[in-house]
Amino acid sequence: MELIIQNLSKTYPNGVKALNDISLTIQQGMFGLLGPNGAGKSTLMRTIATLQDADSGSVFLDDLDVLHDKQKLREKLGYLPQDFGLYPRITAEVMLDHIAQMKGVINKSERKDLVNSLLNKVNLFKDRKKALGTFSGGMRQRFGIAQALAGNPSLIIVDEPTAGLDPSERNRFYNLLSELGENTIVILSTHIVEDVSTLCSQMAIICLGEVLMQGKPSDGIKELEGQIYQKSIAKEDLSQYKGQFDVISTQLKEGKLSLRIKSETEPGSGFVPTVTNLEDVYFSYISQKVDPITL
Amino acid sequence: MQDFWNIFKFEIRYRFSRPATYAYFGMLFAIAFLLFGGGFTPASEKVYHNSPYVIASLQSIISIFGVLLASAIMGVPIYRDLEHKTGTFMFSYPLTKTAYFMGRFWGSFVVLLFITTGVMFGMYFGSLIGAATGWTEAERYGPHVLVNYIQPWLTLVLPNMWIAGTLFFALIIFTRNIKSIYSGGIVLFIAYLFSSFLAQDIENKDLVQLLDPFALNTFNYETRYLTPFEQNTFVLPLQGNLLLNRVIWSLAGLLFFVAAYWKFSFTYFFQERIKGTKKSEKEEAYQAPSQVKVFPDFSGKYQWLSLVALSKIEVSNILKDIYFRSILLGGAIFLALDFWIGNTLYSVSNFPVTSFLMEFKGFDYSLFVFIIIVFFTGESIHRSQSSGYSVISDTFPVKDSVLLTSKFLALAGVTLILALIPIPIGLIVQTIKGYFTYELQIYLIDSLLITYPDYLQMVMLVFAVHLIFNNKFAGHAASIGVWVVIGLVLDLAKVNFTMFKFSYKPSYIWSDMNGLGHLGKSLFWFNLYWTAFGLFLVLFFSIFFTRGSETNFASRWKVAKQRLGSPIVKLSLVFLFIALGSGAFIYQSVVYDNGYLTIREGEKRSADYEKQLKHYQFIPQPKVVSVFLSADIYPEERKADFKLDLTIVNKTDSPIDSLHMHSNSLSNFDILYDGKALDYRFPLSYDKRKFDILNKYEQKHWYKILPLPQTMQPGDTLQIQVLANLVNKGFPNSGYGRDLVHNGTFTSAFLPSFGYNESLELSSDETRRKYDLGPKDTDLPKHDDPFGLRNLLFSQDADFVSFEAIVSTSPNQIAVVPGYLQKEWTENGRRYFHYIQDTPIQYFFSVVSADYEVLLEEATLPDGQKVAIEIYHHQRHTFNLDRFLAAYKDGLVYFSEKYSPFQFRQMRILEFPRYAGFAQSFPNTVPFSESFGWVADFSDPNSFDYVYFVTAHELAHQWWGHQIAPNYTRGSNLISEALAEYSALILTERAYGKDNMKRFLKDELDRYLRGRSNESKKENAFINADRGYIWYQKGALVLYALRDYIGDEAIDSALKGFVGEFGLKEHPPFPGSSDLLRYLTMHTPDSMHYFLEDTWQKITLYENKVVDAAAEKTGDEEYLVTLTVSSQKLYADSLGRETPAIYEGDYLDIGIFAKEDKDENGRNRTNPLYIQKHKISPGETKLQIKVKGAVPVKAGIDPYNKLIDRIPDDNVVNVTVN
Repeated sequence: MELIIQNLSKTYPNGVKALNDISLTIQQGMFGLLGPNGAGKSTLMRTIATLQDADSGSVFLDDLDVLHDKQKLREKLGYLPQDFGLYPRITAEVMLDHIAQMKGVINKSERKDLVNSLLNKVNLFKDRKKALGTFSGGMRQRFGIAQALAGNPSLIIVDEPTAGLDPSERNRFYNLLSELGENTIVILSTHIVEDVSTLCSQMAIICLGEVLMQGKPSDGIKELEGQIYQKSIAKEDLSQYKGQFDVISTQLKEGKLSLRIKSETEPGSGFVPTVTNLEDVYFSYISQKVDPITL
Repeated sequence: MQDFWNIFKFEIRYRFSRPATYAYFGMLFAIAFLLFGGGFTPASEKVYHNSPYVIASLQSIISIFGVLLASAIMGVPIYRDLEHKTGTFMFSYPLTKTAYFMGRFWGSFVVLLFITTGVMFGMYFGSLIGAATGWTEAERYGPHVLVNYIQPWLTLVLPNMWIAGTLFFALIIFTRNIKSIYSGGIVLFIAYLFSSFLAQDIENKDLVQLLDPFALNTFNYETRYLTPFEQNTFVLPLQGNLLLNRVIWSLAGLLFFVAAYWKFSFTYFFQERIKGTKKSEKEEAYQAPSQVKVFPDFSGKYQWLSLVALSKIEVSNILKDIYFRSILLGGAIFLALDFWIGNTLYSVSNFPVTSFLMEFKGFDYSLFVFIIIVFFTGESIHRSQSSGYSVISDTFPVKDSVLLTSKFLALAGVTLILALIPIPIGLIVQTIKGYFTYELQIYLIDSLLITYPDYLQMVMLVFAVHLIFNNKFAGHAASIGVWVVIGLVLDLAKVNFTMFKFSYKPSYIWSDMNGLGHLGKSLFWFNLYWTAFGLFLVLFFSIFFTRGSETNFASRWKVAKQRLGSPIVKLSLVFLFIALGSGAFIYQSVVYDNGYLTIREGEKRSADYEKQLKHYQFIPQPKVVSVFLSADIYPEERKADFKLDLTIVNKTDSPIDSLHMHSNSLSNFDILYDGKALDYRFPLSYDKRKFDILNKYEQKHWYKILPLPQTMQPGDTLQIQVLANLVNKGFPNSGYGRDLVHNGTFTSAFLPSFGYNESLELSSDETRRKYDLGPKDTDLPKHDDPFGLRNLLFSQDADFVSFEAIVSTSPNQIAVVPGYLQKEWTENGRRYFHYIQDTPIQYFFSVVSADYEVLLEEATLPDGQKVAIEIYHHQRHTFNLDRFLAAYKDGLVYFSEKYSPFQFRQMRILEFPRYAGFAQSFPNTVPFSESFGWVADFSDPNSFDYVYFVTAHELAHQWWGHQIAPNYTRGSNLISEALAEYSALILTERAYGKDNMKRFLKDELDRYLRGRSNESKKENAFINADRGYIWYQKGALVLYALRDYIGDEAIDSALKGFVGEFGLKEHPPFPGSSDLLRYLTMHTPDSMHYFLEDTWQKITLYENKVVDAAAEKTGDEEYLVTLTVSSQKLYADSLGRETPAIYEGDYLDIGIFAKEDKDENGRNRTNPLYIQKHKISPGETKLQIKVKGAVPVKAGIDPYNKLIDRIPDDNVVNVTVN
C-alpha cells in the first residue's frame, strides 16, 4: 500500500501559499511529518483527510484518487485532527458507539466490544459513562485517539497527537500506535522531534509549504554524522558567531548559551564535536528557510 | 482613585470598540425610528404620535427588552476576565478590589445607559423625518419638547436598568457561571410576563403597582384613562405609587450592588477550583472479549443506518439542552395556564370544551415553540461546526444528503413532540376540572394535521436560511429578520395577502356546532402550498451545505454551482412545481372567486363610492311595506337562494323614476317587475384590481340604478320581486364566511337596500385625507331634523312591514325566521317551514338553520296571556339552559308589568356557531353565539351570571328597539341600547342582589373610561350618544344612578309613559333620545334636574375621595364616625380637557359599612350600617355620623361607584377605630 502525493499546491484566499508543489511517497508503517508551526502540515493533513481541496496536484492511495473520490477514501480513513470538539452532553460510550457506527461497524454487539476495547486501550474505560463536556483536555485527546482507531482504518492521520498529554500518557500513546497492524499507513504530523525519533521509520521535513527532506531518520542522521559542533558562548557574542558560522540552533543550558553549528570541516574556536541527533537534522534543514535563533 | 479611572475608562473604550454596542444602539434606534416615523403607535387619531404619553409608553416597553440587554452587558465585564483567564493577572497587580469592581461596573453601566438613549434619538428623528418626508402626515406630530423625552427616561428607564444591571452583575459574582446570565435574562423576562398576566386579576391594584419591579404596570395603571387631550400634554409625575415603586426597587438594586461588592474578592472569584473527585463506586473491571475483529461494512444498509444514528444523536443533543428544556417548560406552564383560565367574559371562564381549548394553544405556547424552532434549527445545522466536531465528522463516509436529512429529521421529530405536548396537558386540565368529554379526534386533527405542518414549515424556512449563512449568529439574525418582515413589517405596510406570508393560512377556529367545517379546505390547500414551497427551499439551498474545512464564501459558491445539476436540485424543482400548481389554485380561489382587494384598494373603493355616488344620498326612494320571503338554504354546499316579493310605497313628496338598490353581501341579485327583469346601470367605475393579473375579473354589480317602466308618484304602490343568491366558491384570503355553514347558518344578508348608504364611507379622518376627502362628521341629524324624525334608525328602507316566509333547508336541520310557525313539511328531500308574522315589525330579519335540540317552555304574563319559550341549542350545550330560561321567564313577566305587555306570543333563542361572539335581537327571535355563554362555568356563586344578563338585555330589546323603534337622529340608539342595558341590570339585580352588580358596574365604568381615552374624533354628551362606550357603558351607569336618585317607581313610570306614547307607533314622527329625556325629566324632582343636565347634556366626572375616617366607641355597639371627604365635579370637553364645575353642592351617597360576609347562597354580601345622600359641596367636607349595630369597618363617599369617577378606588377607606 502506498500513498503518492504529487505536485500538490494550495494557496489560501488571503494569499498564503500553504502548499508549494509538494511531492511525497509514503509506504506502509509510521511516517513522521516534521515541521514548525505554519509549515503547512495541517493543510496537507486536511487535504488528505478529504476536508479540503488543493489548487493543483494529485494524491493517490494505490489507485484511489483521493482528491476526487472522497467517499471511498473516507471508508478507509482514521483521523485525529489538531483541534477538535465533541458533543458536550453525550457520554463517551454513546459517542464512540455512534462514531463506530458511522465508520461502518454495523453489528451492534461487535460495536459494543470494539467501543469497550478502544476505551480501555486509551484508559478511558472507567469514564465511559461521563458526559464529554466534563472531560479534561488530556481525556479529550485520548478519546480523539480512540475514535481515530475505530473501524480498522488502513490510513491513519494524526495531527499533533501528543499535545496536552503528560509523559506517561504520551508513552501509552506510543505503545498504542506501535501495536497497529501491518497493512496500515500512519502519518504522524508533529513539531515534536521526539515523536518522530521514537516511532517513525520514515519521515519528511516540511517548512513554508515545501518538502525539505524525505527519507529514513537514520539516513538523515548519518548524512550529518560528524558535522555538528557545540560550544557555550556569551549572549553578546552571538551575532559575531552567526556571521562566521552556519548556526543551526541555540539553547540555554545552565544559564549559558549553547550554540550548535554545522560544519563540514573542523571549525576550531573552541567548538566541540557532538553526536548528531534528529533535532540537529531538523534544525539544519529548517535553518535554510527560517531563522532558528530563538533570541 | 487613579486605578478606578483607568479601569473605568478601559471598560468604556473596550465597549465602544465592540460592534455589539453599536448594534444594540442601532437596533433600539431603528425600532423607535420606524415606529414613530411610520406612525405605528397606539395613538388614536386625535393623539400625536410624539405625545408625551406615547413617548413614555414606548420607553417603558423598550426598557423591558432593556432587561435582556442588561443581562448581556452587565453580566459580562467580570466574567470576561474569568473566561479569558486574564483574571489571574489581577492577583499580581497592586489593584484594590474596589477600583476593579467599581471600574468594571460603572464602565459597563454607563455604556448600558448610553445604549438605551437610542430609543430617544430614534423617536425624535423618526418624528422629524416622518413628518418631513410625508411618510406620516405632519399633523399627526405635535411640538418637540425635550422634557417629554427625558422625564420618562429618568423615571422609568434609568431605574429599570439599575435594577436589572445590579441584579445580573450580582448574579455573575455569586454563580461564576455565564449560563446563569443567559438563562437568567430569559427567566426574568418570562417570569415578568407571567406575573403581569396573573396581576390582571388581582383586586389590590396598589400592591400590583408596587410589586412590579419595572413599573410597567404602574405606568399603565396610572395612565389608563387619559383622554386624547391629556395624552398630548400629560407627563406622569414622579409621585405617589410611582415614586414609591422606584424607591423600593432602586433600594433593591442597591442591595444587590452591596451584596455583590461584599461577596467579591479576587481570590474568591478568580481562583481555579479543584474539582472534588467523587468517590468512585465499585468499578466495573474491563473484560476483554476473546476477539475484537471488526469488518466495516459500507454496503447498501450503511447510509440508511447512518441516517437513523445521526438523527437519533441530534434529537438527543436537542432534548438534553438546558435552554430547550427551560423554554419548553416555560411554554408548557403558560399552556397549562391558558388552558385552565382560557377566555373569560365578565371574569367567568368556560368549561374546558375541546373545541374552545384548541384556540388557546395559539395564545402563548406558539410563541415559545416559535422561539425554539428558530433557535434550535440554527443550532442543529451549525452544531458540528460550533462544537468543533465537524473536523472529525466530516471525514465519515456518509453522503452529504444523509448528513442534512438527519438534521431535518431530528428537527421534525422534536417539533412532533412540541405539536403533541398540548394533548396530555389539555386532557389533564379537562380531567381536573371534571370535564370528561375529551373528543380526542379534535386534539389529533388539530395537532397533527394543522399545527404540525405549520411547525414543519417554520423549520423549513429557518433551515434554508441557515444553509445559506455559514455563520451561526448571522443565520440567527437573518432568520429573525425574515420572520420580522413576514410577521410584522408586511402588516405595517398593510400587506395582508396570505400567499405572500410564508406559513400563514387564513385563520380557522373549531366550533362544537360546526366542527372544522368548510375551513378545512383552505387549510389543506395552504398547507400543500407552503409545505411544497418549504421543501423546495430546503432541497434547493442544500447546494450551499458546507462540508470540510473550507468555509469561505468563494469555495462554497464554487461547490454550490457544481451541485446545481444533482438529483436533489431536480427533486426540489418538482416541489416548486407542486407549490406553483397549488398556488395557482389558491390564487384563482382567493382573487377571482372571492374578489381579493388589498387594504389600500379597499380604502380607495370606499373613497370612490363616496366621490361618485354621494350626490344620490337624499334622492327620493320608496319604502317597503310588506315582504314575502322564499329562502332555500343548502347548508352542505354553503349556498342559498332567495326570492323576495316586496310591496314598495313612495312615501315622499317627489316622484321616483328609478330604483337605486345595492347589496355588497349577496352574490347576485336581480329585480323583476311584472315577471320581467329590469334593466340597470352599474354607476361605479373602479381602477383595475392589482391582483387581477389575468385581466379577467368580473366586477360584481352590487349597486344598481334601475329605471322604472312607470314613474312612481307620491303615494303610489308597486310590487317588485328580488331574485338573489348567496354562493360560496373556494375560500377567501381571510375571514370565516360565517353566514352559510354546514351546521349553523345565520344570515341577514339577503335584503338589498335602497339608495346611498352613508355607513359605507371611510370613517377615519386620517385615511380620508389621503384620498382628498374632508373630515367626516359622524353625528346623525339633529333631534328635530325632519328627515331624521320620519326615518327609522335600524333601516331607512322601510318603516314597519308585514312579514311572511317559506324557508327550506336540509332534512336534518330546523330553519327559523321571525314569525309564528304555520306549517312544516318535507318535499323532494328538503324540509319546509312556513312562518307568518301577523303584526308589523321593522325591516330587518335573519334566517337561521341548524341541527338543533329544542327546549320548549312557557311563561304566563300578568294579564294571563301565555308566551311560548323556545330554546334552540346544540345537543351537548345543556349547561346553562336554566339561566336562559330564567331570564326569559322573569323578564317577560317583569317587563310586561312595568313597561307594557309583551307584543308577541312566543320568544325564542337560537344558538349559532362561535365565528362571531354576539347576540342580536330580532322580533321574537334572538340568535345567540355559541361562545357567549352556552358553555360558561358558573360554579362560583360570586360569578356574574352574564347569560342571564345578556338574555335579559336581548329580551328588553323587544321593548326598547322593537316596540320603541328609534328614529334617525343623533343619540337615538340609546333608547334601544342604554334602556336594554338598564332593564337587564335591574332584572339581574332582582335575581342576584345589589352586591353581585358591583363588579359589573365597576367594569362598565372601566370600559367607559377606556373607551373615551381611545376616542379618535370627539366624545359626545350622552344625549347624542354615538359610540358603544357611551350608549352601553355610560348608559348603564347614568340610568342606574338616576334610578337611585329618583326611585324605582319614578323611573318605571317614566318608561311606561314613554312606551305608552311611542310603543308600536307605525308612523312618524318616531322617538329619539330627547323624547326619553323628556319623560325622565317629567318624573324627576326639580332639585335633581341638575343631575339630568350633568349626565345627559354634559360630560361630567367627579373626583371623590375619602381623606380620613375615624370612629369612636360611644356605647354598646354604638360608634361616632368622623369622616372627612373631598369632592369636586368636573366638566370635560369633547377631547377630554377638564375644567372644574362651579356649583353649590350635589347629592352624593355617604356610606358606613360593617364587615362583609357571605349570604345563604355563598355570595359576598356588604352590610351597610348607614347609607344616605348628603348635599356635598366642592372641596373638603367633614361629617359626623352615629351608627349602631356592629363595628364600622369601611366608610366612603359614593361607595357604590354610581357616579363617574376616574379613581373609583379611593372612594372607600378603612375606618380606624379608637
